[in-house]
Amino acid sequence: MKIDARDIEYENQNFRLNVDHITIEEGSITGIGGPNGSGKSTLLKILYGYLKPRKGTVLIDGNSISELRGSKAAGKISVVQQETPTPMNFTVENIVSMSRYSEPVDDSKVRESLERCGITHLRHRKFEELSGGERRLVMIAGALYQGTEIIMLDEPTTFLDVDKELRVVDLIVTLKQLGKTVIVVLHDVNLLYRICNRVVMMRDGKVVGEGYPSTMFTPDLLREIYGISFLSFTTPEGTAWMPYNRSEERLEGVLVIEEEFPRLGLSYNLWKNGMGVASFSIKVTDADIDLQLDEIRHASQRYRYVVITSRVVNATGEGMKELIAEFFRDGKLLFLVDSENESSLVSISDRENYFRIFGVEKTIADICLEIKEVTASTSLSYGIRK
Amino acid sequence: MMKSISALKAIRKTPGRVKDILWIFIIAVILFITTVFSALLGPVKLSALTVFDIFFTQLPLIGGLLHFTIPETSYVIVVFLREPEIIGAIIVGASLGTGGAVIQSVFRNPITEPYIIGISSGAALGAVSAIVFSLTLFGLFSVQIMAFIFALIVVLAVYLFSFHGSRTPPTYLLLTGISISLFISSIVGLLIYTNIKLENAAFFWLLGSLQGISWSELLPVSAVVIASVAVIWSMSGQLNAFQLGEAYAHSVGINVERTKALLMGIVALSVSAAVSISGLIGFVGLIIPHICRLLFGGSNRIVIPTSALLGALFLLLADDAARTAINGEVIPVGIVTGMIGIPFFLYLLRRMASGTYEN
Repeated sequence: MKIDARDIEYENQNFRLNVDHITIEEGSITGIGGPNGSGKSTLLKILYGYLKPRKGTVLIDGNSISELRGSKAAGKISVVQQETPTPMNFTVENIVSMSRYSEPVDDSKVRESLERCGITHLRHRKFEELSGGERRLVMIAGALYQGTEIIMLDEPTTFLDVDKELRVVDLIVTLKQLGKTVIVVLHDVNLLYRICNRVVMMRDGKVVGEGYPSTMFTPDLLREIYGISFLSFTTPEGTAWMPYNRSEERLEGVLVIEEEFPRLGLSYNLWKNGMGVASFSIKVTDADIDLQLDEIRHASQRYRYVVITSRVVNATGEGMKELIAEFFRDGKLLFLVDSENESSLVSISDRENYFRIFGVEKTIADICLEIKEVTASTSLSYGIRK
Repeated sequence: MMKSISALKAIRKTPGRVKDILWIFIIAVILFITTVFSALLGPVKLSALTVFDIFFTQLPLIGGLLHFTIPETSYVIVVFLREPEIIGAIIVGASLGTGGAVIQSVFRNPITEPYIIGISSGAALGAVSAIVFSLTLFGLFSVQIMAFIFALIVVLAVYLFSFHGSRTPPTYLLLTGISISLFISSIVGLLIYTNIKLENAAFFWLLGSLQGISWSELLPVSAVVIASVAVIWSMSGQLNAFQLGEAYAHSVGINVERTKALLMGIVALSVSAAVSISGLIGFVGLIIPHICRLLFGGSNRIVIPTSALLGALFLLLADDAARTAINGEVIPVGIVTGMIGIPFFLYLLRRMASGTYEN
């Protein structure tokens, strides 16, 4: 069941939302991300018809959401709200079965929904006695009981402790495996990156990016959206995004290609000198080295500056040298770091780091100054620097 | 006694609908028994035999075949004084109990009751105006009809004033209801203050009384209240969904604004009709739904019918107390409901809530 939203304009006293076009594909997990007040929850409420935009259309499989009234809309979309009031003296069973209020309670379906969420033991407990995480799981069970193909969740991991957050995240992935179309509002960049097939990123009521998080997320985009810089670490097991101190300004991103289990010395040093850094760790012992090089080739398309350590070049051999040649041809500014001289994280403040750039030795600070100059220059050139 | 308590405990553990039906049946039986014995109470002492004879003669079909010797005075007292008052207590109590359950669900606020949307102030304005200005536009029942009409007008004003965009957010409704009610209450106060001669009549109405209700005003009110309770009961599912928020209610297929307006309209009709014949009886709409939730669970499928029955039972018992507490005097029943009901509720809250209202 596909969702298509076009030319959406919504306004209230404090806020204005404008969305040109977003599409939610069937059977996917689509994340809506952005800082507080960017319009994430407002967009979600428009998508399930609770808020009516001044202009624009939302189509669910070709049918306008505004024409899908009452039980028809409820038969297609279920929603897990961010905040749930606590009704007086209701049991978990009451809450779960409420999503199909006009029908007799289906015991087996209630049991199945609770089992999927791992909370069968809470069935006869009072809802107000549960923890926040347990209540969130009950609401997800209610959405499952409603039996819709589309499930929307508004910040389902907010205020949850770690184990409940993990459980909710696992459930979201399970929903997709059950064939549901999931739309989830998330404030956590790492969750957006990890679990969503596609993301819609918002700021100030506008969509600033839509696509696959693996290709879309860059330090630059995240800085534009959140107003702070992010450091990313990509390992064969996945990518993590870490926010910087907000008060420091960061320049454009530098892609650092270093060996597996980096000691973070190089990236940290660059970061200390004011660079936005995306780190890609290459597993040099892996048989699929070509696949990794392809990923680096793909990731590097978004960066002007690339730093590679000599250990990586030596370990990956011809494959990396060919990639370096491509970088030259693409006009990237390329810096080669001598791994033997690379400082460890502990002594970073005491030692200088030397770079060999085609025979010219420079410190990290020098390199960063050069990058800053290039960036500030009105006529940017992508020549090879010697 | 111990066996009865064990039986009651067993019922509480019986799952689902069977348990609900059993509870409704038990309360209905208690209400019926109380109704019969209430007819024995009053300033004039009547024998139980005489009272039961009167009842049997009123039974449809069978009554005409029975021949009892019944003193005319006794017949008049039971049929035209006590019975309308008893039935009035049941109807008004049911209306207030159900209305309270609805308002608390729609507003998601445990300290609200039907009067909060302007019913009491509007009805007071209508009734006191009729008393003070000796209005007889509607004949003998001018006070009642004026109370009914003014209550509905004020509720409508509260509803219309509460619109914020295309919605009526519960907080706006509450605050508007409180504000308009306070404003109108001050007008009522002014009317009473400037017409001291009629102070007693007005105060008696403001404190609530079931005395002097006639069958001709009771029958239409009963029809309205019974129909309202039935419709509200059929909407229990929607009421339950409202308690998880309006956004949730929308997501499970409820037309929020339309349903809210409909529910408020039904409560306004039912409670205005009840208040028009009884005056302002407080406490019932606020506390009875809570007692039902504490005893039977929070789902409106059980709270609505039990609030109606328990509200009826409570007001009937309060009226019995009001009629018999002081020999030869009838206390306004609103005083009794407050003085007996609140301490009982506090006791129940301490015994049973155990954290229900801590959040």
